[in-house]
Order: sequence, then structure tokens, then C-alpha cells
Amino acid sequence: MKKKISVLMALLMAVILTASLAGCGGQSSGENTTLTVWYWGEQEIPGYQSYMEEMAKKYTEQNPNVTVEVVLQESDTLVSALRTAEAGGEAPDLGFLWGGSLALDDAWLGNLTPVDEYLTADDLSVIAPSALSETNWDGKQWGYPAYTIIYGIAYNKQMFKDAGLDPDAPLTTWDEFISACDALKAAGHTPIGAGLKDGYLPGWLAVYFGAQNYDDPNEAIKPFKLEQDYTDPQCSEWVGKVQELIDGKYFNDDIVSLDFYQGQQLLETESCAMTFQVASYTATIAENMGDDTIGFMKAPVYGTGKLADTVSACSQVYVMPKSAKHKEEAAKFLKFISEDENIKRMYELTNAWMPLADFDTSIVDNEVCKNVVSWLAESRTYSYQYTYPSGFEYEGLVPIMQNMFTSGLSATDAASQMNDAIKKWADQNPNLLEAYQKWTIK
Amino acid sequence: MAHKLEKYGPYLYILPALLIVFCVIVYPTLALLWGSVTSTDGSSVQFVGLQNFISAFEDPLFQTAILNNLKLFLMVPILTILSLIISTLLFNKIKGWKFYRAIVFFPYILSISVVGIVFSYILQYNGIINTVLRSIGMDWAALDWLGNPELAMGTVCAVVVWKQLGFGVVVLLARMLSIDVSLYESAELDGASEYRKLVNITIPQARSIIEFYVVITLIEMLSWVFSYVFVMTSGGPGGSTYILEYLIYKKAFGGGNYNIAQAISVVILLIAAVIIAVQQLLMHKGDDENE
Repeated sequence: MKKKISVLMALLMAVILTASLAGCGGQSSGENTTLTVWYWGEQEIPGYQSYMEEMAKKYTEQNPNVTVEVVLQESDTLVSALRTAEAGGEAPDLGFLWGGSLALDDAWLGNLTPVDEYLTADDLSVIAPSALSETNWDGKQWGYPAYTIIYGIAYNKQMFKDAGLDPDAPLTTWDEFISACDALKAAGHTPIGAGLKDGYLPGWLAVYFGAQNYDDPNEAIKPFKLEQDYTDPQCSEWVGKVQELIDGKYFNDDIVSLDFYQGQQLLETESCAMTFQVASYTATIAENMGDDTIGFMKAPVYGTGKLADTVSACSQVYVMPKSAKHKEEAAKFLKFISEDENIKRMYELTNAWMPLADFDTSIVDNEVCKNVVSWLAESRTYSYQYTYPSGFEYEGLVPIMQNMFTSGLSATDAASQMNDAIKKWADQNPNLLEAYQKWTIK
Repeated sequence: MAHKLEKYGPYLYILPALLIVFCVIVYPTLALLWGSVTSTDGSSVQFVGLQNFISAFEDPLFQTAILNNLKLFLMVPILTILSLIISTLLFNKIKGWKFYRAIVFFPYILSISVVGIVFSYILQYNGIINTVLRSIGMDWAALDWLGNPELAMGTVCAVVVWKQLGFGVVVLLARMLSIDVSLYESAELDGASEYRKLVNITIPQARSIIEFYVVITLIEMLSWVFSYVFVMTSGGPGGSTYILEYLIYKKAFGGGNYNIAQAISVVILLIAAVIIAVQQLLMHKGDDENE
């Protein structure tokens, strides 16, 4: 009898265990839908978290049977968390990725559904075509722009005055930039504040200086189609420019032991004169420190290509993971956040905006953003970092550029190693190489 | 019926545990082995044999990672010897030994991420350690601990030793406290020095625990150090602190190449299997000698 009871208990436990494993995951179906949105951006455009929480609440008020759960992601796990969730079939309804090729990577890996399967051409027409083209591949739209980031150089006007520089005359050429760095050093200021340890800086340097010898983005991706050697000066002259900055000792002396955001914060603590920053964040700093203290300028020009004078800008994007359970609702949420009133609210909270085809620039009310609006009116936008493979950055650009700072690796050797890194990436990722070879940037 | 229950009953009892073992260990291992010999392109999977392993072995970052894991292995004898020395001192019940034991064990219970973040601040080029060194005129010693490729891995190893030391001390001390006191009394009567007692009594008596500790620590140095590198150096500078776990992470989630990442995971699995096999052989050899 005791044995029978024991056996029955064992059977019962097995059934309970199996049932509980089968019951893991998934939301209960029914009339109420929970829309899960993973996003990023507070780190880049402060105020975005408040904006998303407000949008979630507002959407639920307008759609009582939908609860929107917005989850802020960390920079270090933005990509890995989404890929892990997708691999487990438990991805959110909307994910967030850095734009361009960084988002297309996941399209090429088969992790995403094109958003134009759930948004019509009319829905997409509110977004500027140039912004859509960043994540358009093989005739499909893979990303929906969340906001535009405009790269520039934030600088301390008081330190510029100290160094005998005109704080209201932005540096436009490379020679002016180098002269300004020398003057700032002579005045006792660290010219450029930056952090290299966590590996984000090399990509940013590529954004500012990497594409200045190209006329067209499709020229810039030729090395990654194995159609051009990266040691060609058209591709790698920019590496020599970075070498100039290193040789001139224009960076803070602890650049290698600081993280990227720590390096940027040196401007806010008045420990450096300039830093690489985005417009929205600079506008926030200027609100705190005063427009008479903080200025924003474009990257200095050394190159001779048509892209030399572009505004370094791109969009971060929302993406629809393949395993998302509420794709139609997710598409509706994207349309909702693109409404005029909500765009205006984004600007009020973050100093950033979505790249709309018909953006009402009259809402822009601070000096930094007004400056940027005038740049956008004069030049096209382009981001080199968002058109090269992420594998090239992680395993090539980052360690190689770190070696330039720490081991005295020359620009020539660095360019040669970058070329080897591209070949290694192509060998190890034939499917991604094929995707690149099919890519024509509009 | 009763006969069948008696025959199959034990299997029913262990069925829940077997299910868990299958789900958590067997299936993932099989999936890993399959992934390491295939290539995935979207939803299509193609068998590629050892190509992923060849790609991994030819990758300079893999070679760096293997060397760095070997450097971490070198920390094991250091940890073992330091643990032995400290636990011997505590075993002699010096005044306040319980307090010292707690102090030594404290780092072990801290989260690795917290330790990594704190040390990455302390060890910055203009961090507190270098600031203090410069203030006492030791500018020559204020090095870029995490920013110099020649120093970074050694610095990470030092932090690992600092954090892991407490476990070894506590484990060895616990064993020492259970050694028959009469052995030490006899040795003292014979005029044995502290060193002789350590070498001829303590170490032989604690041999099984030392072996266990060495094996566990070797496996930790192989597959439990990811967080240190992730938080403190992100594999840099210049890839100089890449370890196998971090390389797996970067291959999978940085470059999206899961198959090569899985191949490297299999390499870790094989190395761990060899370590455990050697330990089992030594253990059985020891048992045979005792018999």
C-alpha cells in the first residue's frame, strides 16, 4: 500500500512538473492585450523615459483593452537581450535597435518581421524617406524611426574665450580644429574629453570622420562588399586624422580607462573644452549650464567627397521581432507616437524629434536645436557607422583603434588590420556578406 | 501489478529529477553540439562539419582568449597557496581569528559586477589608487592598470584573486578544524616545527579538499570570469583581456554568429571535461594508494 502511494505521488509530481513547464511563458489570452515595448534612449536623449511612460499611459487611456508595458533597456545588453528573447520565442512586441546596419543585422539574421507588413505606404509616408532608407533592404522596411540623433561637437564657450578663440564662430575645417586644440592646450585646458574603455568611441569617430572622402553612401560600403581595399586612402584617411589627434595629445590623459559616457561627462564637469555629443543631449546640457557656456558645431571637414559636409545624423529605430505576439497592435502604437501632438511632446521632454517628412520646425526653441535645424535645411544626413557591419566594429575597429591609443599602432598598420578584420568578418559571415552585396542605399 | 510497481517504481521516483536534468543539461548540450557543426542563415540550417571550429581557431581573438584563460589558470596555485597560508594562520587561532576570517571571506559574497565596477573606478588612470600614489611621490607606480594592454589582464587576475581568496580560506579552514588534534599534539611532542606540521600533517590530511578546491577553481577560471571582463575592460584595451566566455558573448551577440560561438562553447566544455577527468583519475589513484 505504502509503495502504491509512493508511486502515485511520484507520478503526480511528474505530471505537475510537466504541466508547470508547459505553462511557462505566454500571456493569458482574452479581451485584454498587453503590448510590450522594449526601448532605449534615456542615455542619449534624457527625458525619453518620461516620454515613453507618458505615451504608454496615453495609449492605454485611448485603448482601454490594451496595456502598454514599456521597458527601458541598458546599452550593454540592448542587442543581446533582444536576440536572446527572440531565440527563445519570447521577444517583445516592439524592440529597439540602433539604426542602419546595426538594426539590419537582425533582419539578416532572420530575427525581424518587416514593419511594412503591418504599416501601409501611407502610414510610412509621414517619415522622411532618407530616414526610412537607413533600414530599407531588399525592398522591405525593417525599422521604424524612433528619433533622429544629430552628431556634433559640444564645446565650452568660456574655455574657447580663454584660449583666444571666437566662441560663436564654429570650427569648420580640420586645420582650424587642430589650431583650436593647440590653443586650448596652451591655455591649460584639455581640448577633447572622451572615454575609450567600453568601445563605443571608435564608432563615433567613424561617424564624424569616416566618410568624408565619399560622394555617396554606396561608395562607403564598397569595402564591406569586398569591392575595395580598406587601405585605399579614400577609405582610411580618417584613421590618419585620428592619429593626428592622438599624436597631438588632445585627448584627456585617462581616455583609455574611462567609459564613453564618462568621457562625455567631462564637458559637464568643465574638465574638457570639447566632446563628441548629440544635439539633444547638448541642448539639455545648455539648459543647465547656459547657452552662453555651451555651444554645438558640426564635425570639422578634411575630406573632399560630397559626404564631407553632410550632417552626421541617423535614426534609432523600433523593430518588430519575428516572435512578437501582437504585431497589429504594435503597428498601431507606432502610428500613435508619430501623431503631431506626440511628436511635439517628445521634443518638449527630450529636445529630440522623429525624422518626419513634414516636421514643424517652429516648435524648436533652443539655440542648439535651432542651429541643427539650419544644418538639416542645408545638407543631407548620413551616418557611416550605420552602414558598416557591426562585426567589423566589435572585432576590428574597436580593438584596433584602442591599440592606436595604447600601443602606438600607426594609422597605416591600423588601416591594414581593419582590412584584415573585414576579410575575417566576410569569411565568418558569408550570409551577411551576401546581404551587403544585395544592399543599395537609396 | 505489484511486481511491475516494484520493478518500475524506482524509475518513477527519479523521473522528475531526470526531466529536470534532461531539460537543463542534456538537451542544451545536444543543441550546443549540433549548433557547433552547423551554419544558420535565417531559418535555414546547414551542416558544415568542423568549419566553425576552424574559423574559431584561426581567429586571433580566440588565440588571445585561450592565452588569457591560461593566465587565469596560473592564479589557481597562487590562490591555493595563499588560502593555505591564511587558513593555517587562522587555524592557529590567533586573537580575533573569527573576525579576520569574516574579513577575508567578505569579498567572496560580494556580487562580481559590483566588485568589477568599484575596481574599474578605483583603478582608473586618475582613480583613487593612482591619486594616492602620486600624492606620496610614487608617480612612477601610478600606471594605467586597466588601460595598458600589458597590464590589463594581470590587473583583472589580481581582482579575481582578491575576490576568490575567501572561499579557499573558509573551505580549507573548515577541513583543518576537523583534523584530529592528537596528530598535532604528537608532532609537537616530537619537536616538529610549524612548517613540518603543515607539510606532514595539514596538507596530507586536507588533500582531498585541496584537490576539490583546485578543480573547482580551475573550472571557475575557465567559465566564471565573464563578469569581471565585461564590467572592467569590455575585452580591451585592444582585445588584450578577451577570455573564452567573453569571446562567445561577442561572437553571438555582437556579431550575430551563434554557430562559431557554440563551437567555442564546445571547446570550453571539452577543457572542463578534461579537468574533471584528471581530477577523477587522481582521486581514484589516491583511493588505490590508501587501500
